Amino acid sequence: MNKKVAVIFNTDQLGGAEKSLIEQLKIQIRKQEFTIYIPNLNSNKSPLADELRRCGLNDIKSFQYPLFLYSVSREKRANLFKLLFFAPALIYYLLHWNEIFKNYSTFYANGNKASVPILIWANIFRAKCKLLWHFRDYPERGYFKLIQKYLSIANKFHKNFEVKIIANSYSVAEEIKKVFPWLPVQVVYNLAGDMPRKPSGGEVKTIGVVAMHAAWKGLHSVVLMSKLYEKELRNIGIERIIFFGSNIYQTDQGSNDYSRDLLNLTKKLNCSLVEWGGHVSPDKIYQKIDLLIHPSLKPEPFGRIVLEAFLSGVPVISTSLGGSSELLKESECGLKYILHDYRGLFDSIEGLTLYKENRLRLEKSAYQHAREIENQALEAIDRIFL
Amino acid sequence: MLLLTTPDYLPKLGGLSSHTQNIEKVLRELKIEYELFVWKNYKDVITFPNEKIQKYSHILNIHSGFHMYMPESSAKVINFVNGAEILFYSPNFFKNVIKKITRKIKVRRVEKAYFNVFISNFTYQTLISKGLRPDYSRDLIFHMAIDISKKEFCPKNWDTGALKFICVARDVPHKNFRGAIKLCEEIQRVTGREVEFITVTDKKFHSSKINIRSYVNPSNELRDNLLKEAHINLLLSLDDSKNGFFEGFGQVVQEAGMFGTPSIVLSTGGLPESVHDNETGWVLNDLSEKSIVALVERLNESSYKKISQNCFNHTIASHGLDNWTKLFRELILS
Repeated sequence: MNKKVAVIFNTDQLGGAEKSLIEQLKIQIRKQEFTIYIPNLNSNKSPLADELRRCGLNDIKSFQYPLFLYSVSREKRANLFKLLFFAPALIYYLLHWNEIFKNYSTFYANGNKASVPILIWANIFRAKCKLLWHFRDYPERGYFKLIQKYLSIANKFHKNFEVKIIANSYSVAEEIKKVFPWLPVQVVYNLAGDMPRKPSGGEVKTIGVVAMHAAWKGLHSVVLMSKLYEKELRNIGIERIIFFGSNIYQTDQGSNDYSRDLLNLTKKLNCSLVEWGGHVSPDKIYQKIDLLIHPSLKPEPFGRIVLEAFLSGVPVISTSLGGSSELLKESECGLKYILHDYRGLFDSIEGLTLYKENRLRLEKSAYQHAREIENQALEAIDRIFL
Repeated sequence: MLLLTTPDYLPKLGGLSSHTQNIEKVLRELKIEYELFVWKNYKDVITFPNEKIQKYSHILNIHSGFHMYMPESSAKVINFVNGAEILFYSPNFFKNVIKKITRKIKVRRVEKAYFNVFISNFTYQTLISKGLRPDYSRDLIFHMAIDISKKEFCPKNWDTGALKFICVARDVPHKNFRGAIKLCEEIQRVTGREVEFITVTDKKFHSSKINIRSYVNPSNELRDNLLKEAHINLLLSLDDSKNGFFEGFGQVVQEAGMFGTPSIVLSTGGLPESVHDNETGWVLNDLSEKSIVALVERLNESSYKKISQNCFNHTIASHGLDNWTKLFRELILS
């Protein structure tokens, strides 16, 4: 008999984290029965819901999620007073969650904001259940200290509530173990899904950068490099640098300003190589580009687009921080460059563009490594629900 | 016409003074006509003649303090933001209060710049924490560049002879000469190898455990020779932001790097952006015995050779003045 699992998302948008979870669900769909919960869902406007249905995951429901939890979770320091202030409203949500969640014994929460309702509800209502808490990012300080304290006390009194943590890289797992040393942690790499492979051996004319518009993704550093080395890039045959992505989550005013800043910077410096490609599906992106730059300025928990590029046969140049360094494998599978080293980034582009044998060698080992990652992930996914 | 402003210039020596001279070289290479204004205090800036400031198309400030106080101008202002000026601190109680009170006004001024060039992401994030509203079309992170015309790769043998460490800095608490001496003593103790510590500053140091050679205000030529001679440069600066000091980037790391002398730094300020751990040097979290033992385990002939070569190659490629020439060609001439 299939297990009934409630899958909890923390957004109705379709970003890398959501795509990765959908890939896992597709693999498990014969063994488990999934009911998908999306917060504050507006069915007509949810790319996530559309994609779930396209993949045959049709049991989709909405649940109410307090907006103040989104804003509070972004703060670096835990503000207990703020939480207490919103406590009366939380009571309403708890009653609502109890109505929904009491029918399930297993929860699979995609991200920290998704896990919080389960953590609070299960402990207050003494629910007998298991929470598979999928971390998509490093544990932040502030609220995690609060959650850590809460869990360490709650676990002493509520033995029927099991928590298992799923980390999407060994880098993330290592940080989680520092915060929750008593909880089991399993590493499950993200899956990229089916990526059509580009024929290899072509010239490098189009560079791609694929990321949501957030300052830590470092897009502005590539815009600047494109201007500083515009002449040199054109001399080696580069015709364009296309930036794919947008401000998908629309939750942060800072990110909206960043999109505007990127356009302003491009205009101010008159960057003739830069094009803004907007939101395009991954299977189409990698067919349009010959080289991917991954310019994240801070440790990336996993770096899904690096995996997508590897599977598509597109070579990668990355800052290789955090989980993405597990993909790049110390320059066997891609090239690493130093943050804000514009000359270093150009040199890597030049090296891959002009030296075809080097590029082909990297593409081949990157593809093999990506396949190994996928195999590891498939085996690990089977063990998630054990 | 461009106005280049600086608080430090010859005959005064120091980071900002050499930074200014380097920028002058860049402006001359780009054939940009400029006038130099050296200011000694904020009164000089506030009283800069209004009619004179209006004649410039660009104002390039080596120290962002000039922009905070200067008269209004229609010129395109480009600020270098280096370090401690953005802490808005003074050891004088009353000046400190005034700096804190006027901080917002000054930060708003900097927001009106055409471009702000931050020498490290740490410096940028620090100013954001002081109230700067980030604008990635205005604020650029661009690491320090130096004159590398005297570059010369000087390979040193790690396995034979004494291990030589050098520290070139002013003798102020945050530069942490005491920490550097401690590190040298510990390395000698753990490795059993003789360690020699070369200090280039304005006073002499002593240790009962290691040999210290102190050079007080030597000539540039002697200083360069000492950097060539040393195996490793030490810059173990502490984050003393509360008292108005932090290391924005650590220019001496590149000055050593252009001779193939890698650096050991602490993970404070902008230093981890200047030295790339295990690639061009070593970054320590602290000077505990555990950290020093772990460092020593990483140091051997083969790793030293590799890092020394990487350090030299990286300094020459990414920290020469040609990098600034590229930047200012786009910011000023385009």
